[in-house]
Amino acid sequence: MIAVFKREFLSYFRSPVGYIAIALFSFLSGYIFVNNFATGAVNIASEVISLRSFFVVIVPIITMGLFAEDKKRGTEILYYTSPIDLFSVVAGKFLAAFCLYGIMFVNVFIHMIVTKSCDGIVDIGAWGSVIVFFFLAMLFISIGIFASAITDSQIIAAIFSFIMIMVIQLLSTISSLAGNAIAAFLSMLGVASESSNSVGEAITNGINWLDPFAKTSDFRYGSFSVAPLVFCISFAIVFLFLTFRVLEKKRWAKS
Amino acid sequence: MSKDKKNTKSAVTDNRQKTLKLYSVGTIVILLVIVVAANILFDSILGKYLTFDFSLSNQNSISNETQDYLDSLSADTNIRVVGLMDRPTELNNTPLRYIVPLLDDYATKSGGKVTVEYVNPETYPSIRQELDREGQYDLTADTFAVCYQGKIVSISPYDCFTYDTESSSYGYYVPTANAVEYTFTNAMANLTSGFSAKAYFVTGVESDSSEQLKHILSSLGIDSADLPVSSSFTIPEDCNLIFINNPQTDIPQNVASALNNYISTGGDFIVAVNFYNNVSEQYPNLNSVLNEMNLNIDTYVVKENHPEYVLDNIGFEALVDIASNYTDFSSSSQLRSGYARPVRKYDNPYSYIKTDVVLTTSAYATAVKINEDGGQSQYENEDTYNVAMYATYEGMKDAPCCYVFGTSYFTSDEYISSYGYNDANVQFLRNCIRDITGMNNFNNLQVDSKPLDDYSFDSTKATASNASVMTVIFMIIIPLALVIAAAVVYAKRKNL
Repeated sequence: MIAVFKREFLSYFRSPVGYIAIALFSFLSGYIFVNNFATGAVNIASEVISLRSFFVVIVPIITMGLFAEDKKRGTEILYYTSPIDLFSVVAGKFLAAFCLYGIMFVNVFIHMIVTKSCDGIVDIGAWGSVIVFFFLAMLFISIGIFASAITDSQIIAAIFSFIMIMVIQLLSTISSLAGNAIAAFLSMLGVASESSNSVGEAITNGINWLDPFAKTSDFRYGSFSVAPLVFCISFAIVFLFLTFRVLEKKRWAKS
Repeated sequence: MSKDKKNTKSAVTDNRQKTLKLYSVGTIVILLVIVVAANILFDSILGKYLTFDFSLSNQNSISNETQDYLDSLSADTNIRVVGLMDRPTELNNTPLRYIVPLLDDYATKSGGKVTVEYVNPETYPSIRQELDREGQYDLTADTFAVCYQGKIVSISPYDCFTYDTESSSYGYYVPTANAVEYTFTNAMANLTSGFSAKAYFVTGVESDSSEQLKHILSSLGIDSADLPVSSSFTIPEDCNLIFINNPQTDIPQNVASALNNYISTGGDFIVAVNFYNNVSEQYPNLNSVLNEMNLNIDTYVVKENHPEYVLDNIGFEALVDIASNYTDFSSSSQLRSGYARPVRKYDNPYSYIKTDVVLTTSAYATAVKINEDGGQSQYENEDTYNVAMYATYEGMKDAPCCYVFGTSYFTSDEYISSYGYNDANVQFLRNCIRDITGMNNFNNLQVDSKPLDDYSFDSTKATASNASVMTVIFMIIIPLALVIAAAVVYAKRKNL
């Protein structure tokens, strides 16, 4: 796993991908920080929360090539023919992408230092947002890796992970739309208003339960909860396992 | 034979693939079921125990005072808090960011005595009827209803904060303190204690707004309403307390007569005046009412000369001492006063009235007269002046009581919004109200408001030139350096 991790991590810096991803992240975080700085009040938690919206762009960039690139070069055969555990391959690639995220995040740590040096406040809410940021990064990177494993094309992998992350980011909107639509449909069928509303609400709540952003929203206010972190980790494991199964399937097919 | 062998091998391979496919799908389904079930169980069983509030001033947690109050309630108590809205998902930059997590904490830590739910009255119109069968309360959407045994207190999210009065006069609402817990706990305590009272504010005498004071009364379970002066001025029968809060002009004669009748039937009142609003007003009618309680306010302004008491450079703003009988009313031994008129005992006192000094200056204060040309002349020699006094009838059941403040530094919106609900003056006023209404017999809960997060930094460092430097470093130099590095790497490795 360490060998895979080293190879993947260094490959980010042997191609423009790593630099471009970090440059994009630096620019976006810098833009948010500078805008806050100009108002005389910097809330690092708000900056980190805003940066989460860019997962949808940055995660596909750094994960699209993790498996698709190997397929393009034909080097993926090595994973299937060498006596290594495929889960180690998946975990190594995942760690490499995660570490790149960590390096990107150095920008925000610099912003924290600047804020402190201007007698600003880096409170517990800021640290809560940072924790959530990394746990969400885990979840989304695992989705990106899965997207990269199911297709030979980097572009399709990027589009797939973009759509998946976008859907997750819009879950709260989707849930209320779906709830209202079902309630309206049931009302149209003649179901009593309160019953149809209850069904609609149950559907809204059910979809909302899957929303990691809603689950982790209190961290920025300094209210830390273990359950949302367990949610992120467990679903990250699910996607890594799915990736592992996709590779296993290909290994059988090759044999 | 060879064909049969091939077919057999193919069949074995197909079976193997089918088995592996089944195994693959099976493991994925099992993992998904385990993950979803584990998350649901973890969330419902351990979730609330593994939630920690590390926020500044524990913004999202109830205080020990509230916890003690909840613990003191009997196990079968059911206080229902209903948010008349869908449960908010986006809390950022809304007052709800301080309300929703705190209400969740009430529900978690009350052991079932407080339940919190969100019901949108547009989706469920019957909720209003369910909560308020007789339609007595104003249950508008986007407010919270605290319900207990058929009684309801309606709370608007915007009422859970104190605001800077100066900014709000320009149309900006800048919150200065978080009073969410203060508002909700007091609402619950008032409902469960059974205490209720009604206060009336005499208006129409160019008095300042009393919105902050009304919030304080509301948190104490006292409803309030305005009582405008008019030729047919009467004091309603349900009145438990009258406020005359910083009038700039004197009350009319008929109002003074109505107040005198009110006093004779045991009515309580609180008067606050100051010198700043109207330096020449002598309040003869108001004084005629106060004289009935052996009190009088003078037309002078108190000037403090003791350097340890003075708060401004002219001595009109100063600290005042709390008289020994009232030290329990505040955690501080001294309070702020400003532009105070002296409050003194009436020259021809009635023997059956007992007066008490409440707040006093140092022994080095003087009373100053402001001349028509704006100059000052000293009226009396250095002495101790009273800034607030109390009076009641001696030996009488349900006797009238009054507090008279010569300064607006206890009751004005400007002061309360500037210093917040936790300020010692405000705390003192609250206890005066508790004392005069007899509320202490029902509930003596003291919940503080909480300071809000302030992310502003040293204004000398938030300059335009510093912002420009930050822009250049964070938005140009760092990203550009990385793009150049990407270009160099690409150029060097494109042919590999």
